[in-house]
Amino acid sequence: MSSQLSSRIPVTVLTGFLGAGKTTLLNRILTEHHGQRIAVIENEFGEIGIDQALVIDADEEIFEMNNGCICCTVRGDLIRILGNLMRRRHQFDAILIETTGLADPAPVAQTFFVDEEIAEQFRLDAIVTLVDARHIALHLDDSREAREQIAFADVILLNKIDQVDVTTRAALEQRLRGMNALATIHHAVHAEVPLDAVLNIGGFDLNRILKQNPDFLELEYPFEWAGLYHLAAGTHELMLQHGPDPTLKLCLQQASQVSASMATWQRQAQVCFEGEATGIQPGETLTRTNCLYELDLTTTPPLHFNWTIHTPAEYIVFTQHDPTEFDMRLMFAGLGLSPLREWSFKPDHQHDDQITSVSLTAEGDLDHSRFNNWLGELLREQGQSLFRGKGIISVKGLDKQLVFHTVHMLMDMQTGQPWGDTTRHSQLIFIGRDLNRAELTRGFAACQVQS
Amino acid sequence: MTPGTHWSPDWIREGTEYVMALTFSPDGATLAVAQADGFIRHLEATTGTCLWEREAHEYGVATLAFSPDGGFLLSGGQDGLIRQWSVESGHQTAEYIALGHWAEHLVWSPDGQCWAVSAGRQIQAFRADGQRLWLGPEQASTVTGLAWLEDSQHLLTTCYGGIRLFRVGGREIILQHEWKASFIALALSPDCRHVAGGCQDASMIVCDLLTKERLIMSGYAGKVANLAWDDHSRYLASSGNNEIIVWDFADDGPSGSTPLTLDRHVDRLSDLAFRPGTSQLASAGQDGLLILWQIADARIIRFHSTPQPLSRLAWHPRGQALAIGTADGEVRLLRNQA
Repeated sequence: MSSQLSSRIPVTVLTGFLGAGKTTLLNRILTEHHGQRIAVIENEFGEIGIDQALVIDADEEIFEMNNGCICCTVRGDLIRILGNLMRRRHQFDAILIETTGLADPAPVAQTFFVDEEIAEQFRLDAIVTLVDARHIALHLDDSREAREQIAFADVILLNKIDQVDVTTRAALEQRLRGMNALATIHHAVHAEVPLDAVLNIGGFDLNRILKQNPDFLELEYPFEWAGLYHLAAGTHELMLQHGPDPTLKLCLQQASQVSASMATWQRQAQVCFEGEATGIQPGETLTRTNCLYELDLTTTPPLHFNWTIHTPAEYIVFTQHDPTEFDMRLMFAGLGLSPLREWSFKPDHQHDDQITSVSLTAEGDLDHSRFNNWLGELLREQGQSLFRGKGIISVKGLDKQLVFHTVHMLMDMQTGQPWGDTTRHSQLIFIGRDLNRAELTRGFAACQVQS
Repeated sequence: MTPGTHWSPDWIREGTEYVMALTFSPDGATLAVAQADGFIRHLEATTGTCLWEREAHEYGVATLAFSPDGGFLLSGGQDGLIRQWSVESGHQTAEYIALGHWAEHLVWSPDGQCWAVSAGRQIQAFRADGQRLWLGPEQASTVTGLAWLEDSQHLLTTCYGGIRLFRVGGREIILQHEWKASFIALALSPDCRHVAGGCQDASMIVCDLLTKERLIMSGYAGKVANLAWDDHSRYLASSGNNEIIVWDFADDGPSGSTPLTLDRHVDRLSDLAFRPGTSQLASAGQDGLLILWQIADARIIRFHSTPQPLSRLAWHPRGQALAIGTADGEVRLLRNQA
């Protein structure tokens, strides 16, 4: 963790519906011998009475900082209480704020951005959302608050996990993951989790999240498969059978032209997949690279398409679905070709929940002012539906990482660790309602410095 | 603005813990200091010598108030208790339960017969002999300001959502200025005509208790955490971030007028207080600066600077000296040489 983060007192926000087990977890945290001094700011209806810790009642006063902007609603009582605790800051190692079951986490989180005095002394360490594994599915269907508590979470504790079967558990986890790709999910019975899974976890520190869960930024792709082929000049034949879908989108890229890695090809393919597709009937010829084709598979098989290669080189084919479902084969001069390498991708799920995560990555540097403008405009215009955002950015001319996180329209950005020998790249993720993945991808891509 | 002259302290008393409250005894001979570690120290005003010190409250002392006769000192703590101390000996002579987590505001009635305390949403009034006079109705939210009217019969409160007036002994709200904001400061003019409330959303409300009219001043640089009236009820000083805004209530009042902006501090203001009987304003800031201003011509009379953020300031009852406390526990005394 960088020094500017660690000098501020970490604050954990505990959310979760009534009955999820917040009180049990609080009691556990307060009675366990962990050696940390924790001040607890609890909601009015809390039931805990603990001698060894300081427990303070909060009033849940929500008010708007800038007339009428709901993105700037903050908790006035927290500003007062934290302002007071600040005067004896060396008496505490950490602060825990419990919110009421139906609370929207945004005003609590925003308090740490909006009030300068608070922002200087405290850092929002993590939003921990406790979930009753038996009832959450129902809550997610019925309650906007429940969905937002999931969307805001850095940590999701699936409590009472012993009370659901394995299938329910898996489905639930997949659903939560679909809404919030960022959160670490823990299982618990009686809210029993190691303390370091909840307190002072550096929830806003993307570096740390990546260390714990290196795959979380793995994008959900508009394609499921890619294969790398070495192709000679001439006309190749692409043969398919009927599959689960009437069409199949694919795009071709010349891989050897770019010296970059798979990530670059993926990104190009992604941009390609977001564009308009060119419809192709069996017997027609595919000629262009970096072009999205949509193969019509409704006629009687076998379905043959031609693919003309002008330059012998390595090419990569991205397909919308797993090609084995269509028994796809690439032939040249009557011989079947096998890919030199192939990749599978996590498909872009069509979630029922409107809340999703979008992650964006780019190798190399971003242009600082273009990035700032893009992010600024994004937060201004879509801040209401963007719950959380986190990123590590590589900016041209800056030898340190730029680390930021956002809550609705508000942003906290600071320099992080030096890049040193590590490969410079940028990664960011947004969690929000009805996010436009294509638009975000395009906007982000436009911030890249062309090498 | 003239730079003013540097003001050197008579004495400096070192410390370690944030100075939460600072107040002179009614005769100005001693000074009580409350610190974040829960200690109260009773100091001789001329020398800074500690006459007694007590570990008064677990979790820190929030507020202090000398009885008007100077016989005892009340302290409100973050342990939810109010304790009464003999000024002479430093022995505890009584203890009261505040009925809330933090006993944050303690105020004596103008007639000196009783005192009121607020803790969380609860307000209470006690007679000087310790008998409880009144347990007020629970407020809508944590009480952030408490003041007596001149009749010693009525109490004003601020909390989230408004300024309210109660009669001690009654349950009903006599007067209410509702305002959907989080109030953090309250100041009643000495003539009891106007009450000012500072809000977290960078605005201030001033209510005229006679006409029931109210003025809303917005556009502050930050939350309005400090308010102070001069003894003649003419000037109301207020601060948002590092800016001091002074409103003039002479003649037609501040409505439509341009206030005076005193912009010299470079960090947030911690405390404001007019020198008793004058229109000289002392301002203490997180920047470690103490500035004495002459409001009439917006001039800096004196200044003093410390390496630590200032937390509190207190005037000698007759304005002969000024005490300042810092975030790191130091207390300094500045004598008014003019």
